[in-house]
Amino acid sequence: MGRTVPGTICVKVQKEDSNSRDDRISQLPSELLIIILGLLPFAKAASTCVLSKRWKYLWTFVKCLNFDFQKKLIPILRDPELGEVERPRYISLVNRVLQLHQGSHINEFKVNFPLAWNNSCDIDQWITFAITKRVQSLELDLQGSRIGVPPFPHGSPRYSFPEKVYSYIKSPCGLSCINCLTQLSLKFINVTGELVEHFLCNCPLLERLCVRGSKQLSKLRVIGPSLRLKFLEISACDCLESVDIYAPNLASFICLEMHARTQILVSYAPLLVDVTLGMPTVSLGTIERYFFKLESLCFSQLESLTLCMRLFRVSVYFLFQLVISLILVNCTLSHFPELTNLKNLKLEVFASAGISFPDWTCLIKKSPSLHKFTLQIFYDVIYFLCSAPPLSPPTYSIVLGCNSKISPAVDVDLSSLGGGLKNISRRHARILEEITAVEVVRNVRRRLICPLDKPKGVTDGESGELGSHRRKWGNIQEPSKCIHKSLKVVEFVGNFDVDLAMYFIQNAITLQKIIVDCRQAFIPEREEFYKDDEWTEKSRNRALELKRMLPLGVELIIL
Amino acid sequence: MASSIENNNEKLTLKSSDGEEFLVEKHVALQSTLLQNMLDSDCSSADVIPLPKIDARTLALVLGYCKKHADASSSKQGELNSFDSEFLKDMDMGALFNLVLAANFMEIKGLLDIAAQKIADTIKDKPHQEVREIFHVENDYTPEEEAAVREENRWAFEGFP
Repeated sequence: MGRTVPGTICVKVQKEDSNSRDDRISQLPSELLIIILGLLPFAKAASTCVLSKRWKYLWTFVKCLNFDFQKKLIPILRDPELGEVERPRYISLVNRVLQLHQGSHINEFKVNFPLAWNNSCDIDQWITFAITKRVQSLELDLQGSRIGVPPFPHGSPRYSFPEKVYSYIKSPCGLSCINCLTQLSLKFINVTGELVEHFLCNCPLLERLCVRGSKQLSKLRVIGPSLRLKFLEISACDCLESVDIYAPNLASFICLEMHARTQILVSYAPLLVDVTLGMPTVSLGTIERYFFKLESLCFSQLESLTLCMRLFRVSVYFLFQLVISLILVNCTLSHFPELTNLKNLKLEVFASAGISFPDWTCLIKKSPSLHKFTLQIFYDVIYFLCSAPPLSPPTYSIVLGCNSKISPAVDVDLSSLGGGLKNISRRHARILEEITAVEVVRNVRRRLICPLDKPKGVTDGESGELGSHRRKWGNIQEPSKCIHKSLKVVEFVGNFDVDLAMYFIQNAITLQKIIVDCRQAFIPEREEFYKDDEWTEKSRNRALELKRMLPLGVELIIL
Repeated sequence: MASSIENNNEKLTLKSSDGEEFLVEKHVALQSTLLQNMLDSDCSSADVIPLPKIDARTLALVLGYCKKHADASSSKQGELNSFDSEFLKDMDMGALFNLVLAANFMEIKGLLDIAAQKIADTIKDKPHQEVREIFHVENDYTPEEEAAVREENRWAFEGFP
C-alpha cells in the first residue's frame, strides 16, 4: 500500500488501481462513514472532524451517543473535589453535542457521571432529546461507581425522573417514541413503580431493564404474558417493598443491595436460569434468610448463581453479631435450597476492611452439578482510610483478614493493631501494617480457633500448615465421599483461599483446574492507590504452596 | 468459479462489473438481502443478475464469505468467528473499501459489519496525521480553520474539556 509522501504531487492514474492515492475513505457514501464512525469510541469519532472538511460534521450523525468516559471517571470518583470541577464541563460537553447532533434518530444514549438533583435542568433535556430521537438503548447512571463499592458521600438529593417527560411519554406522540426502546437502564435516578410499569407496558421490544438506586420505588410489578424482557435488574432501592415477576422470557435477574424487607415474588419465569443476588451480609445465616425470602424462585432450575456480598468493617458490635451468627449457622443449614442444576456458582465479596469469611462450603455442598466455582474477594481499603471522621478506638481497630475464618478471639488484639493505621495519609496509604496485622490474626486464629472448629473424627496428629487446613474442612466431608461429580474449574480472583482449595481437592474428583488470579487484591476502582506487589506476591506464594498437595490431573494455574 | 454450467433452479448467475459471471447456489445468494429481495419479487433465477458496481475480484471474495456463512448455518458460531477474523486479515485497503461498498450494495449485514469494523480499527488508535496518510485524506483546512475546528471540539481530543 503506497503512502503519500508529504510534498509530492498526487497524480490520479487509474480509478481501478487499488494502490492509487485516491482518498478512498472520504469517497465512501456518508451513510457508510457514519456506520464506521459509530464503531469508534464516541470521542474518537468526534475528533475525526479535523481530518478534512468532508469529515467536519460527519460525526454529528453518529447514532450512538456514549458519554461514558471511564478514564476520566475513575479519578473523579476517587476525588470529590475534582468531581466538582469536572461536573460543569461534563454537562456542557453533553449539551454541546446534543446541540450539534443531526441524525433523525439515535440507537444509543448513555450518560455515566455523578450528577444529582441540582443538575435537573440539563438532565431533563437529555432525556427528552433521547426519547424524541426514538432511542433504542437509554442508559443513565448518575453515580458512576459500581454497586458494592461505597461511593464517596455526596449530599445532593438524587435526581428524579421529570414529570413533564412522563406526561409526554403518556401522550400518543410520546408513546410512539418509546416503542422502539430495547434497553432501559436508570441508575441512581428516582423513578416510581408506575413509571417503570409504563415503560414495561408500552415498549413491546424491551429486553433489558435496570432500575438501580431509586428512592421512590416501593412496589413494582413486572408482569405481562407477552413481555419480551430477558434481563431484569432491580437493585439498591431503599424503599422497595415488593417485586412481582411474571415474565415468560426472563433469563437473567439481578438484585443487588436487596433490602431486608423487600419481598420478591417470582410467580412465572420458566426460562430464568441466571440469578445474581447481592446483600450486605456477614454470615451464611443472612444469605439463608434472603434465600428464604426468595422461596418463590425456582432454585432448582438455576444454572448460574452469583452472590455479591459487601462485608462491613469490624466493630465490636459487628464481631458480637458475627459470633452469634456463627453459632446459629450450624443449626440452620438445612434450609438452604437445593441447587440441583446449578453449573456456575460465583461468590463476589467486597470486604471494606478486616473481615473474616463464613464457611462457603455450606452453600457449595447444595450444588451437586457444579461445573465451575469462583470466589472473588476484593478488599477496599481506601473507603476505610478516607472515611472521616476517624472512628473511636475500639471500632477503629481494623485489620485485613486474609482467608481467615472468624476467630472469636480476634478482637483481643485489635485495639493494639489498629493504632498504626490512624496516621496514614490519604494518598500515600500503604497496607504494610495490614499485612502484619493479618499475620497476627492468623496466628491468633491458629491458636484459638481449634476448640471451636475441631472436626469430628479427625485426629490432631497432622502437622504443617496445610495439615491444619485439612483438619478444618475435614468435618464437612470425608475425603472418600465425593460430592461434586462434575466440578471442573475452581477459580480464585483477588485473594486466594487455601482452605477452600483444599476442600475442592478433596471433594471434587473431576477437578481439572484451579485458577488463582491474585493480580488484583483490592477494588479495581482504587487500583492506583492500593496496588501492592508484596501482597500479591504473598497470595501467590500461598497458592504455590498448594502445588505439592495437588492430585494427578489437577492443574494449578497462577496468573 | 466462472460459470459455464447450465443454470437450474438451485443456482443463479451473477455478473460482475468487468463482465465475469459467477454461478452461485441459491442458498448462498440468499445471504444478500438485495438478492433475496430480487428473488422474492419473482425475478427469474435463470437470468443473469448484473452487479454493475462490483468487480470480479471483489465479487469472488464476497461470494466466498457468503458460501462459508450459508454452509455453516448457525451451529458453528465459533468456527465462523475465526473465519471472519481471518477473512480480512491481510487485505489491502483498496480491496477492503471495495468489499465494504459491495457488502453495503448487496446488503450483506455480517460482511458489512466486519469490514466496517476493520476500517474503524485502523482509525482507532492512530493520531490524525497518520490516519490521513494511511487513507490519503487530503487536509483541505487552512491551519487557522483546523485550529478552530479543534478548539470547537476540544473535549473529543482531551476526554472532555
